[in-house]
Amino acid sequence: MDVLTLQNVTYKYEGTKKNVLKGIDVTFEAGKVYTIVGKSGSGKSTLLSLMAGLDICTDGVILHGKSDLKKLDRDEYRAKGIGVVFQSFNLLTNATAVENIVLSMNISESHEPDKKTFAYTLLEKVGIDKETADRKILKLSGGEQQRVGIARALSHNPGIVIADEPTGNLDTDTEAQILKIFTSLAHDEGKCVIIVTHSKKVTTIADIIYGMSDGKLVQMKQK
Amino acid sequence: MYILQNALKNLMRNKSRNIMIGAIIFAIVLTTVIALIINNTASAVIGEYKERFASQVYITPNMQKVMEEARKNSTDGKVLIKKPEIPSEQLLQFANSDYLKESIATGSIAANNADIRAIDQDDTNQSETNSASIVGGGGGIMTSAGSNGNYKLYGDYWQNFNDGLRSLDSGRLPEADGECIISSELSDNNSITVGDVLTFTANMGVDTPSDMDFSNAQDGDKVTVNDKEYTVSISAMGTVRLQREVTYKLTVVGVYLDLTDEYANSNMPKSAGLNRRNEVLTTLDTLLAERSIDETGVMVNVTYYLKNPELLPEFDEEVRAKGLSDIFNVDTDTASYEKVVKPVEGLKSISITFMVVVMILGSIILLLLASISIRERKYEIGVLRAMGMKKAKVAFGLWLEILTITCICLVIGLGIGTMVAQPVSDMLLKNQVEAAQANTSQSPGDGTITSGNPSGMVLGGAQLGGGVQANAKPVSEMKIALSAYTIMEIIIIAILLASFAGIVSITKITKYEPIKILMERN
Repeated sequence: MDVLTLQNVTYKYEGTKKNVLKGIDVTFEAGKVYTIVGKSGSGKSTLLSLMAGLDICTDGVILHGKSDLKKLDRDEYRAKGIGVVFQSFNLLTNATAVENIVLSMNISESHEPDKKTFAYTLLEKVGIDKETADRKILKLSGGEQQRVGIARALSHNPGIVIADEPTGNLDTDTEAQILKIFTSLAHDEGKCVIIVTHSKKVTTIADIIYGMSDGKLVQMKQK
Repeated sequence: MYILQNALKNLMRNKSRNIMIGAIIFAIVLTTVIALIINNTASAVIGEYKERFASQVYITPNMQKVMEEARKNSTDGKVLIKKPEIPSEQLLQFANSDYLKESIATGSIAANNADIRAIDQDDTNQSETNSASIVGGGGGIMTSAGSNGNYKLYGDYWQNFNDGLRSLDSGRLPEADGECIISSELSDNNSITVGDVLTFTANMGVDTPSDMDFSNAQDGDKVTVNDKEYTVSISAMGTVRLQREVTYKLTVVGVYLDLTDEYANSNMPKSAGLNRRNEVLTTLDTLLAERSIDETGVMVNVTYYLKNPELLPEFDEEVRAKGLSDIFNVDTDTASYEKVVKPVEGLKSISITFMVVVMILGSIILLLLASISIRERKYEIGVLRAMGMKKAKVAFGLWLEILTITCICLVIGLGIGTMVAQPVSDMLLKNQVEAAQANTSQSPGDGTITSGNPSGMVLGGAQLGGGVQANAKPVSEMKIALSAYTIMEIIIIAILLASFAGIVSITKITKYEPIKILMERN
């Protein structure tokens, strides 16, 4: 099932003439893991922010299911439709790990009866114990913050999970654990997982690998 | 709900910044509390004095016009100044006006009673000569109609009961004409009980008719005027008075206890006619029933209270139309009002000016702080927006934070402000009073008295004036009170303040796009 479709998506930054993304056509399906690889500056993160509903494309259409993102309530889309793991985590630094997760669940109007317990469970799943979960984000290491970011992206059970270098700060064991979670999300829970990465190890879990070069997306490999 | 929870948590997460904002808000709230408490109390005091001075109407003779009139009527070079009078009927008629909020009519007449003994009656008999013409029985001296006697009959005079100086000991207050209440002393001395009927005699007088010749009249001669027989009485100055005796049969329906002094002045010689225990209280209609319209004797006093001090010209016009002579002025005591209230007005003005200045300066500082604060929190806003929180909710959360700070400041400010307001008010008022007094001493006669007799004039049956108070002193004490209205005003100001600070956040947030904030940060 197509969950996210990009049709001739073009993007250029305000005040510039050069297109960062040049007519991208791609469809992402539920139940699959996608990885997007490419050099720095190739437009991967820009593509990710368009798919995450953080920005809108200059030309073309991005469809969430059959709905045009430009016409959708993008706040609602970000809160409920998609989970994003940012490369720089983007967590509330003065709040604890568990507070970040609970707040995300509140924003997405999660129906979970005991949000805090659910948040602890989710954090444990990504390798954050209760003691660490109660610490402020500023007191956590990069790897721990990365895992909190992943847990937050999954907290409201979105249909699409987009991750920008999600294992960049993780040790090998934790990386393997996280990748297992992503694979399970796609293959067991039927979610669409899109990962932007430089890591070869991450690409090993991908069902489809895309390469990003000079603003264009090219399919490189399909399992 | 989660927005409120998050807002409260944020207050704790950013303590130092919030303490700084709180300090500014607290300063504004505290100043506002003190200023508003002082201002509202001052307004109440001003309102009260305005009611007392500026609403009560004084009808006083214009002495210049009285003199002119007397000179005009003089035929032999001698100027005879006759007391200007307003007929009691006219005074009562003036009370029937749409411009008045209230009018209080009372009356009095001196009387005698041969059947009972008045308090201090013996002292009266010893101290008074019998040379004056006596018309009424029982030992009272009746020099002119209604002016002397061992007893005073009062009509509708209940002010002392309202003031708590008199209270009913037994029975009830008069409800119908012909009923009266007497003092407990008078009751005890004469064994008078409720239900007894007392018979008082009093004198009514009438002006000597211009068509009658009294050049050969003798004391005690009888003349008939308007079908009523009067006894002629001639004073040592040769003034002819016509008087007749009337009888009041009053049923005692109650006995009152009197907490006032027996005499208005402790230096006064003992005299039954002046002893307040000999006052018999009845209705005004009872007193007026025995009197013809053209007669004097019952001293009628009507106090008029305007609905609004600004209605004075209209009331003046109305009473002129009802026949009030031009020799009378119709005034309110604005001079005393201004003198008394000036320091309070100064205090009010200072408090409000101070509050406005602090609010303006405080708001500017708050605006800057809020602006800096929102810049610091730009990243946080970006994260919340990236998580899908709507702009309105982010703004609402920020507003709740500042509102919570304001509420805390409000509670503390109200507590401290209420305690501090009294000494602050005392200090400011003292300065104002001193300034007012210094001003008065530098410019004597600054118009505190505009017209009339300083102590008020009793003019032929109607008390006129009595209110232009030369010795009115400025208000030197003001009991500060925190009213519900003041609390409401302070709450509204606090909410507006919080909203004002919140506006900065809201306007900034509307300009922020999450991707831009996060990219800037990254």
